Amino acid sequence: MTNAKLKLIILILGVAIMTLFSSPARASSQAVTASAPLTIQILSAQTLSGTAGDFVTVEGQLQNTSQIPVTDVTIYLSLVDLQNKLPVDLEDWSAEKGQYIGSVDPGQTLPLRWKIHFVKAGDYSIAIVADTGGNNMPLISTITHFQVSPKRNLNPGQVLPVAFGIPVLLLLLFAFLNYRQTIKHS
Amino acid sequence: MDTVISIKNLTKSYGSAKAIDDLNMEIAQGEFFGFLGPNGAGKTTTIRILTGIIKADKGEVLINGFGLEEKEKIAGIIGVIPESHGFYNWMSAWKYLQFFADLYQIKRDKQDNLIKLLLQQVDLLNSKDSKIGTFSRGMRQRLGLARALINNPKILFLDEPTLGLDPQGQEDIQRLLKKLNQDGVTIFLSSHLLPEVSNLCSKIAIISKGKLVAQGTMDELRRTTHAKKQYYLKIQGDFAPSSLGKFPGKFFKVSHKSDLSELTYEGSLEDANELINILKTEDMNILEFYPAADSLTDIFLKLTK
Amino acid sequence: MFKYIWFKEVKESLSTWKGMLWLFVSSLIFSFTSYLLLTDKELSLLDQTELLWLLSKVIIGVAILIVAIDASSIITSEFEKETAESLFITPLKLKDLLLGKLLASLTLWGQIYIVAVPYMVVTSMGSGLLWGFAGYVALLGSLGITAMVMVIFAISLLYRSSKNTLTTSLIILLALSIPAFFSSTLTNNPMAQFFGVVNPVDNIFSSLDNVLVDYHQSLLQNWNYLLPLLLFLIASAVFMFFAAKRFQKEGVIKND
Repeated sequence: MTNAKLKLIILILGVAIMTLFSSPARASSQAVTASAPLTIQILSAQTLSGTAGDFVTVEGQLQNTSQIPVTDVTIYLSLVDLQNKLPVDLEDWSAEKGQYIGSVDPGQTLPLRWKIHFVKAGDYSIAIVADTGGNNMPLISTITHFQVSPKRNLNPGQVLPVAFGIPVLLLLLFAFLNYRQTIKHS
Repeated sequence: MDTVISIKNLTKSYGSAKAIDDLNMEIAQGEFFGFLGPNGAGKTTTIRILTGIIKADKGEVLINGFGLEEKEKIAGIIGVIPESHGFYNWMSAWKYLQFFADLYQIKRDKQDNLIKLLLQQVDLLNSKDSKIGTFSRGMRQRLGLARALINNPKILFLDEPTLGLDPQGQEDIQRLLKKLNQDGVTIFLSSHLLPEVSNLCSKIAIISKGKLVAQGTMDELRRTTHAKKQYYLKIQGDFAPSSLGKFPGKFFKVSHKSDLSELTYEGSLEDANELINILKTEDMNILEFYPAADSLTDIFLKLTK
Repeated sequence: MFKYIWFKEVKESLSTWKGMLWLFVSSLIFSFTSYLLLTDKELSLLDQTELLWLLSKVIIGVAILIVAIDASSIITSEFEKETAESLFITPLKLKDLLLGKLLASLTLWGQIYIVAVPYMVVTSMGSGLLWGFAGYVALLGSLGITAMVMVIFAISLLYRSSKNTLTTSLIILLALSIPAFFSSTLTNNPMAQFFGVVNPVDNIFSSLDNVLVDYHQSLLQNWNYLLPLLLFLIASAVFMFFAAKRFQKEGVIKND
């Protein structure tokens, strides 16, 4: 088990414990702690791995397993680079980092979807996090691991002749024109 | 003779400074007209107005009967060598003249012969394919003259055409201009070189501080500058004008060499004759006596002082 | 008559190192950009349409800059080299001179465009966007550059100095390019938005984005970018017209 995985598990356990033993003093509309009645799952865990440059869809679902509505729900992706041991800034990976769900009725199941662009090769773990506002701890889905393979260069063999050839061709053309001028004026 | 250039009440100011002040002149067809003046007198401004480069504030100008607003018609009959004129150094002499021939809309089939003739006239045929950037100053001036002649002009405006040239270069240009004038081209020449103007021009105008101070032939200008003539005397013996006592007129350039006295006397013809009589009475041997002509330099300096 | 001025300028640019250098520099920039776009680890991961959009901006940006620098001296050099008087003594009219020089500047743009074509072909392979890419770069570049050149000519006629004209032209270009440096939050500012609507450079780049990234290739789908460009073109022409009138009033030689 890698250190990063271990840290994640500890984080999740910590969140769970804090949630379980958190203060009950809340506004009546949010008397039930928001994190508990919601379950989040990543459904597309098996299809996430790909190649740098690929666009993939992260599919998940959010379910309210309680008897009361859960309000003010925001969900977002959490991505960790396992090789460099750093969280990933989703700026280039996804245009829809966070989604505001609002209210989830009792028993309601909502599909979740993110389109992400694999920008860099490496090993990653991804989780969906739900936040219900106030002092409630965020709820996190199961961690999914995936790999992004490096991308092969896009047709460099076709750009090279042009990138080198055109300047060289122009130089030859100019040399020829200059030579013709010199002959003419001499 | 027909008037080809008529200038009436021409005035041009730059701010509060008057560059040309009520100028009136007429130049006849076939004339070699000299236009003189000190620096800043308004010569170049006058030429630029006549050639349409700048606009006058007041006055009327007719070039061969056309007003200055008929620019295209005037452009077809005049050739100009401006005071400062650059060239396209990357062009050859031939291509340069060809470019201007195109601007004058001379047909392509006529251009080759015309350009060859012009280059021959200005002695640049051997350098026809050389870049102008390699030309000497004299060659550029000759090329400028060829360009000015590309449209076979009736009137040629020249602003200091021999400026900066060596004596040989000046002579080459002057010879060409003389030939052109003999072939009927009216030439309007502005020059600082007074010997050049007096040598070439049949009529001269002198401008100073924007005003015309004199205009006419050399003789007319001399008469303008003084009613009295000058006479040159060479006398055998030692003659001193003071011996005459109070005598009308003026003696100057008095010199004594061996047994000879030379002097110039300025006075009326009657006083000059009286002087001769006095000298004869005193048994002085008059070896030479003739009227001395005022040079253009003298006239110019007198009029523009 | 204008065609003689046009041909003279084109011959001069081919005869001297000036014109050749511009084309060579352009080709180097295009080579560097296209190679980088297609081979760099991160840049090459961009969607191909975004690659084309980036390249199109580089092509037009480089062309505008080079043509602006050239246009800044194409008229003023006649005064500085003292060839203007010889020109205006001929039957040549000012409008012929301006038209000939304008066509010469557009010919330089055309030459840069031709140099850019192989790069456009190789980067758009497989995208199906070559004609849209090449067509809109040609259209937008021509509109923008024509307008820019007319503004520069107007400035040339007013200043009659290549140094002053070049400085002013570069300042104008910089001012038009400033929005590119704005962060996305600033572009929400009403002033910045207004500037974006009237700014020809902004309209060119936005139209290219519309065509290449959003696949809106018809002229009608780009009317909201083309219209401000056309208006800018008309305004430039009017500016040049008034500058020419003032020039004629002052005369070919301003001070004796």
